[in-house]
Amino acid sequence: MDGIGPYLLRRGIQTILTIFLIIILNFFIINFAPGDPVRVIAGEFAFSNPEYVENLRKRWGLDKPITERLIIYLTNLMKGDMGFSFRYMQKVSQIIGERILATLLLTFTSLILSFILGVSLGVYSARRHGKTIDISLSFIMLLLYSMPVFWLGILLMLFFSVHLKLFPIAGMFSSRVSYTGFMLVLDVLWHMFLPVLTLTLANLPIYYKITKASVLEQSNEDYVRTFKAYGLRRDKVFKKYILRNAILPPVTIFGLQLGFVLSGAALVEIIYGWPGMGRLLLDAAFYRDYPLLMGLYLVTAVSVALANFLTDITYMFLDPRVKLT
Amino acid sequence: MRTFGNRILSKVKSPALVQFWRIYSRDKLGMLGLLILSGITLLSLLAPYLPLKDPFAIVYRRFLPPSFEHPLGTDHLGRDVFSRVIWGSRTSLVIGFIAAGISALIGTTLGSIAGYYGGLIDDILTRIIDIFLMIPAFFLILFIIAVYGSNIIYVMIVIGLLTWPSNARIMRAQVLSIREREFVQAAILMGVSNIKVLIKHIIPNAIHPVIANSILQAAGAIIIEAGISYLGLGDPNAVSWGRIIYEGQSYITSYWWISFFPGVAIAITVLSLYLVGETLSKIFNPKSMALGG
Repeated sequence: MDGIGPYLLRRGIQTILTIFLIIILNFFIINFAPGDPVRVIAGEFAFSNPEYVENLRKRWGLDKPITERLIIYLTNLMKGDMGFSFRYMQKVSQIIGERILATLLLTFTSLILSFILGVSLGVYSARRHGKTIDISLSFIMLLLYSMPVFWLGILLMLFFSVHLKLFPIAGMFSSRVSYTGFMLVLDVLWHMFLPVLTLTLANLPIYYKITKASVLEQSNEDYVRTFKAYGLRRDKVFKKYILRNAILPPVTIFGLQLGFVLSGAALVEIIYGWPGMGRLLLDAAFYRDYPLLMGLYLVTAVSVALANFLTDITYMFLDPRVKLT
Repeated sequence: MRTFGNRILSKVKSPALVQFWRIYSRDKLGMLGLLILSGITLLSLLAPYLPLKDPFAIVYRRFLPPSFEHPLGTDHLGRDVFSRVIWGSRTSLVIGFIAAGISALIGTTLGSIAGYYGGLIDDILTRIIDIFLMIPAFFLILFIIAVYGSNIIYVMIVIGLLTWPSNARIMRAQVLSIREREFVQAAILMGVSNIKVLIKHIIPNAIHPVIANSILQAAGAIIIEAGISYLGLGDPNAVSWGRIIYEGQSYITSYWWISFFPGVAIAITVLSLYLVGETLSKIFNPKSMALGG
């Protein structure tokens, strides 16, 4: 395996280059936007008090030429400073930092659940290919795949929270009581049930479909027929050989989805009032809070780039056939 | 549907199309998808001529439940939900197909250039494709719409601009293999210009998987638009399914029908596109060779 070092280096450089391009893109989208952020901050004073507007412009550095602002932006980013939110009057990095864990809690839980469930159901279906249970499962997955995730979320909330009153409608904690310790954990689990269910159901069909197709494809390979001809037990061939090869495609999907742990749950978070990054994004979009918008987009884009890099490395160890190109 | 298709094809004298239809019409799920999709398309095309109530008219009583007069009830302003859902199909279908069209156009062009010319051009284009694949599309679209204002044209263009890389990848792989075939090599040796070889000989023989992928992408675009409209960031001047859900969600606990039915419409449309797209990609898959390449 002499290619690992250079391979890692090349992929690393590529990742950094991607992140750099995303930052530049980010900066220009905002800067060519119509509308004047200073007028938004100034509110009603914008028309009555031009001096105040000029002061604001100076204070936020918006009077400098675009190239200078780009350089300031880049140097600040290097220091970990993503700017200051007009609306929250707080550092962007601080606001995002407060929300990021709530989002990760939702997305990681549902990502792992949908991987395990989707792969198991896919394997189950493939081993009963063509039977009623396989056809019904495929049909359900097709339906889940076709539904928009936010609509599924609304339906689940309507049924479980409004109709059956089993789960809370919104939020992450119960508002009237302040639990500690184990009760707090239970409280959060109770609140995250529906959002996690929605996300899991939405992601399930991809894993199901890929796993099923991949198990079926492997089962038709020559090596499987040879093993069977040699009299190896079906179960043993399945566990030792088919599954090992068939698991690679769903792992790839898992890696791809890992990149979307920050952005993938936005709609579901908004429906369930989850205090994560989704709501923040929507508010930032509505109030044109540019530094916050840029920060959010940057953080998500960087997470995608990093996840891709990690997936490539993992894959290299999982599948010895991967060519280091 | 099958005989109807056969009748049309008997007038068009194209053996390739006839053969394609023979294979496609054997697939039951594919036919179901095509049937639903044709139905929806027909409804959306004919919407102005159908005896529908005015989707914008605020003339009925508010929150009427589904009845014979209003099959899907009325909304918070007293508009007929049924006619809004039918009119909404126009917005959703247009967004789906135009976004997918833009994506197919860019993907095909760049993918075939990368595959045909190879070398440095290929390297650069492949890197660009890799970078585009890393952009979280939904976030960026939200971002752009928030900054530049909401307009149905922006939504379509941005979705198209962000989703072309998968088409480019497919096209590149196709062109790489077709470039080596004898008829292409012969054309090159005969001195036919590069652009002519690409447009006349390679692209027509390579584009089929891109068509299948584009239909799946149309479904994706419809879902993205619905999500944006659901957040209230859609074009306020267009009736779209996502927008109807957005408007109805504040009343959903008592008047569920407003948000429920547009969601059903999205699911059915996406399902039909998915069934057609999957059937096409099964047929056009270079591995299966169902159409002889």
